Amino acid sequence: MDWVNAIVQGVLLGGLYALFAAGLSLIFGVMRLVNIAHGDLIVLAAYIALVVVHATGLHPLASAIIVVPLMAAIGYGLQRLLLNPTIGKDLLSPLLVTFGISVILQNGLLATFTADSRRLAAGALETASIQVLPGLSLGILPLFMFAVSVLLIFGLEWIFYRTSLGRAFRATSDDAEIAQLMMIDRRHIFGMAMALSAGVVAIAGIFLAIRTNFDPSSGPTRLLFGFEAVIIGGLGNLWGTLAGGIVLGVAQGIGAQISPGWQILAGHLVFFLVLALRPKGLFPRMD
Amino acid sequence: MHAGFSIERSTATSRVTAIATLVLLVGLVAAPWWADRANIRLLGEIYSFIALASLWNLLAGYTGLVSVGQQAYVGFGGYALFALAMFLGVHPLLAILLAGVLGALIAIPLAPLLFRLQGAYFAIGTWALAEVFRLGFAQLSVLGGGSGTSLTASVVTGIAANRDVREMLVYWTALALALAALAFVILLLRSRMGLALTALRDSEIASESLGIDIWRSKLFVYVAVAGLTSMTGAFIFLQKLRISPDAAFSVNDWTAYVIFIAVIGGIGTIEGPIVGTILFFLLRETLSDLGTTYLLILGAVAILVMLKAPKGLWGILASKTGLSLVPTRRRVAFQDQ
Amino acid sequence: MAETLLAICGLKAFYGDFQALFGVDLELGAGEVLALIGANGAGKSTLLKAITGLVPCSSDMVLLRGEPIGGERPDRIARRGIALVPEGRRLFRSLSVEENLVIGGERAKPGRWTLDAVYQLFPILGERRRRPGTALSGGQQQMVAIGRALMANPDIILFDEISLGLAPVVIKDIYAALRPIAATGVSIILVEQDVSRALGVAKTFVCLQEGKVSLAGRPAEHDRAAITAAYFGMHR
Repeated sequence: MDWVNAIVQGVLLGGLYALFAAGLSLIFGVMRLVNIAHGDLIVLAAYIALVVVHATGLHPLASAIIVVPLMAAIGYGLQRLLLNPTIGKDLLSPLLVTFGISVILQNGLLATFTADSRRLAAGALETASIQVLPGLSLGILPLFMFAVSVLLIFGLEWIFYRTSLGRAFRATSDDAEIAQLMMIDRRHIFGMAMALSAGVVAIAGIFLAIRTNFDPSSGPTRLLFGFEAVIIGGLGNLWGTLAGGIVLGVAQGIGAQISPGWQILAGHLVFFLVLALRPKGLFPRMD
Repeated sequence: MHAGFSIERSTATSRVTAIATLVLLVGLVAAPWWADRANIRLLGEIYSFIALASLWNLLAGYTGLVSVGQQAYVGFGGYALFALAMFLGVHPLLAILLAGVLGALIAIPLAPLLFRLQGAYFAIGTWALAEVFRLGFAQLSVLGGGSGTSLTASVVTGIAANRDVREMLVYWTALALALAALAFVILLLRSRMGLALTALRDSEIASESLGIDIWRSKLFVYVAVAGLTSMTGAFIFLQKLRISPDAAFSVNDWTAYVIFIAVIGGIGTIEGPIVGTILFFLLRETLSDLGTTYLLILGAVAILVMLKAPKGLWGILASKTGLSLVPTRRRVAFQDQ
Repeated sequence: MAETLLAICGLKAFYGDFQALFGVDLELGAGEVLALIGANGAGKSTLLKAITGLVPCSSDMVLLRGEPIGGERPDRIARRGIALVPEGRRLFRSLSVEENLVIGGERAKPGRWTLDAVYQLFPILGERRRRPGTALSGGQQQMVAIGRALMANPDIILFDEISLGLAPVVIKDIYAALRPIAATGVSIILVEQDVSRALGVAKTFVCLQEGKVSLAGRPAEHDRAAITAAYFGMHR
């Protein structure tokens, strides 16, 4: 039963990884930008949630009403101020600017909150669980988070394929020059993509803060999990990304069963295995 | 009426540079006689960063392989040195060389794997690889597992019994490493392969259409850089005498700093990493007491340079003056007119 | 002569260090069709790109109703009522036919051109509205590109190489569609390789040669030899 439990927990964790990945995948899809600070933004959101909860006494999950818009605004600002000037020149500039943002975020958080690891208490919700099989019970909170992750991915798909903003995203990604002639201001559209990504990051950060301990240096690992979920699932396919997150979560769950030191390592190794055997990911987009 | 011309690479400046470099080199080789112990150590550290930054610059600035995971090879080289010296009794200076060979060997199967990731995703892939190395070496209990290990005294005295002689040897090794890395970068960029890579660095499509030759060139550069980076890593941890997974595979120490150096010095120039390293150490010696704030400043400066002067300090200088101390480009010299 | 809608005054334009236009002048009246002709590399596409803001130029080189608009951002210029049907169609490949049309109009002022009106003009597009834009034949793709421009209800439409790469029978259809479009009173600049076809529908023409205007006026004012000379740059 331990193994079944490890796998089920891994699936649920995979939902969170898919959330880490969704924002990364979104901005890559729209502007071919890989945001190295993505993980650090997740951790920033976790700290903002911490501050909001302490200041207002809101339930951690309810803090989203403040954290999400705030993160979206930060994302929009970062894009307009620091990233837009580098887009379209070459590969190096945007990548290195996000690397610089990552260094600043990590050390800014370190200076403000110290290196102590923190966690957000979610109260009675944390221990609540339902028994699905004898010996196998599922936490309400992990289930809820998984459901929210799936819903968010559904929502992102809807925005991308059914709204005017999504059309502008896709058009800009297809042909940025001609998209401008459709009266699309791409600086704004890129800002909106980053805002949307950061909004998802906000939810991911709150979930992270409730689920695990975090500290200012937790970001890069989250970036790597998100990135691996994207590649395992296949580029440009959000449902594939969800599957990629689940594969990663399950691999880590099984690894942890073998030995605690193998938890993260097993996830990375599965990523490289997929890269070796299925370089386009498990669910490549058909075009 | 055609003017006679010849294709040449050297310029008057570069000839002056050559003489100045020679004088400087003699001074640096003689450093053990004019500098104290702490400064010798500092110089060794500076040399290792010149090597790391030049190699990273070759990868990212010329070959288009933007890696944020070169700490994989720094740490691998360090661990290889410890294993070779402690378990096989290899002389530490020879072990540096062997660590380089091993680093290059392990890069051969890894490179094709990473090359499957396009553009910016390649960068994160290299980081994931470095994490595999870090977590993997943490599992090796013979090398101290997660808490690491120290070089035994017998290994250290094995370099040379006399402390002064030992430190001289280690110092010269560092100097030789930095020079070797620089020479490799310069020679490669002057070669046909280097010219082709430079011409194509910004155009993935063009590189793809040129196909296998470019792929092979990138493989060669990646593997050679991995080897030289491993050697540098081996030296770094020989000087530190202690290794642990977190120190060996630190993204801050071996990638963030190195990128900072290349960015402020000037990516895509030979001189940039040297200028950047000197600036970096000046900053470090004056600001490192600030701790976290120091790193905040580094990050902010790097972003500012990237946005306002993407060619870095050397790039600005070179474009203002047309100066190129180490020319890699051939220029047409007209004999009359 | 109709009221001048668009005036190009001494336009100089560069691609990097390469100068493509050397002081071009041109006037487009309201409701006029102007044919822009010239050999490959004469600067026709550059001229259209400068008008739409895709190639930089100084502000007083492009005047719209007397107002300087040169060098404005492309999205701003599009908002002012200038639409482009680009060379090679350049449909958005991840958008369906209908989405390609919708995106052309959803930020623009409403007007006579709606989805229904475009489908009436090109019935085949209505039948294939759910298909990816790039899954259509070349001629149908050109119809989508024209429809996309119409959806903005522009005052000026620039057609770049409207018939390039299309079969003769398809070209006939496209030109047949130009008449009802012109009849709505929109001004048109037509870049076309097929000089006689272009001059057949145009009220005025401008011939470019190596980045300069080599001949301009009404088609009837100049004989064929003069136009040919202006086109190829032969001395008379």
